[in-house]
Amino acid sequence: MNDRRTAYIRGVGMHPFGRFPDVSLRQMTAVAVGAALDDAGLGPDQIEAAYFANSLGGVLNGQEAIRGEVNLHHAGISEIPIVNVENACASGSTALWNAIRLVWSGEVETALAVGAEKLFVGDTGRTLAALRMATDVEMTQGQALQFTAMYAMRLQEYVQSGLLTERHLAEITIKNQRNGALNPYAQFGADLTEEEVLAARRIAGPLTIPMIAGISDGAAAAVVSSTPHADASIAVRASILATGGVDGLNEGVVRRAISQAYESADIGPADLDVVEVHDTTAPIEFLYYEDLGLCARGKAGAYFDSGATQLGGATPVNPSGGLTARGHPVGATGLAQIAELVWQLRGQAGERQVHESRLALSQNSGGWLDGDTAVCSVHVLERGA
Amino acid sequence: MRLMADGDGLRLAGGLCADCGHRMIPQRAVCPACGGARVGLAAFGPDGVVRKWSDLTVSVDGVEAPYWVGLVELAEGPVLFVRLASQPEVGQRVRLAADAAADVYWFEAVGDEASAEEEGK
Repeated sequence: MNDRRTAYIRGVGMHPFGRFPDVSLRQMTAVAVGAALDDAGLGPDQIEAAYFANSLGGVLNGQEAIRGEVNLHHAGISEIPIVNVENACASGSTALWNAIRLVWSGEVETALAVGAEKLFVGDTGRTLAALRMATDVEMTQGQALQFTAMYAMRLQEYVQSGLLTERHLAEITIKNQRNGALNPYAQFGADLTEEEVLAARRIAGPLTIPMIAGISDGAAAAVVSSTPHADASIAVRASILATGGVDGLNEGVVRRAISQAYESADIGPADLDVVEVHDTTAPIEFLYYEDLGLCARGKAGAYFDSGATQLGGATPVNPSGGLTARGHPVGATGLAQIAELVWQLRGQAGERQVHESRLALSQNSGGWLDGDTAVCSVHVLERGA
Repeated sequence: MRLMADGDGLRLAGGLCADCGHRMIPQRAVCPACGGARVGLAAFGPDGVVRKWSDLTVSVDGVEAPYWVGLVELAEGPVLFVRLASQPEVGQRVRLAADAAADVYWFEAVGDEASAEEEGK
């Protein structure tokens, strides 16, 4: 450990994820920021700097520039330094990564990280076209890229070799949808049967509608401070941001970011009590089990079958319902993961509360570049005694 | 520029590192393998092999579903994401096809006959 001071997640807040045609981006931002400030026991005037994460507000909502200044002004945050952050689906965790460093450095006592996104614009084709911009568009134009196909391809070897069966793909979806049904902030969530999941419309490869993160609106925020929440100390033990595109078919950036996080926090997979991963399709969670080292390569199906990642298991994964059930308003997702983990560590997660937990990890990925995820951020949080 | 004329046919524009020989698509200013800055223009393809693929049931980008996409490893080494003209299988040999005027390209299956011919060479 170095001698830098500790940064704490002092407060978190969300605007529910879902379809909100009558709620603007700034209104969702204000709800999330207000809730995070209330939780932190701070007023807007006590925030010294803010990072505003949003990915597609330019192309979809027409606000290409100064999105943070516009949206945060509505929430009572102005005058202070505001930085706009874009890193596709990892924008929210990238904002957090910045806010943590500002507190670590001693430059400020308290910084705000906010993620907000409005993907419902009345035209699904336009939203899908915007999402395709999270690639090297010079290379992908005309190739009809859809992210669901990228995940289907990642799973192909596992499915074809029988390491993952259709039942596995259905059961992990059922787990996350069931968790989501217990999450008041979630867009979806339901009690589904294997038959219902497998009989639903297939989009790419073996992936059906309930397995896939839907289009979503929402916002989430975290207050990062040199002093903890009055009742519960949640410290940042690791904060990693890594970029990909160099590992080709090895798809190494997620593993690289996780290994850096373990090293930074001086922990291993066995130390994790609760985890949120970036399941843009529910079955990709299997591969993250292996990337996290929760099980050996090729053993994700058997590991899941052991029940370890269910709410009552040894290492619950995606207690929030994950992206597929909570919804995936691109720039807000990374901070929604943080909100969920903070609630879990504090014992405030209601019906979806996991066992008493101390160490939590979030993994948030974005974009696609040269055969790999373009950016991956991993954070480790620890509840104090 | 994504396509290059090469004799009668079209090939893909990429980069060849003069320092370490690494091949890449697209051509980059700096070699991702060795960091060298002497990356020259090179033509790759038209032959490749499908390493991963997926079908899609939703039309986008002016492409009518169902359609197929995949990661194709070119004979020269670079791997790229492309649209496939028909349902492939892993290991399928494919060849570049293009509408040069529209700057659009895809890969088409190489028939069994052509594969056998190549193997006989």
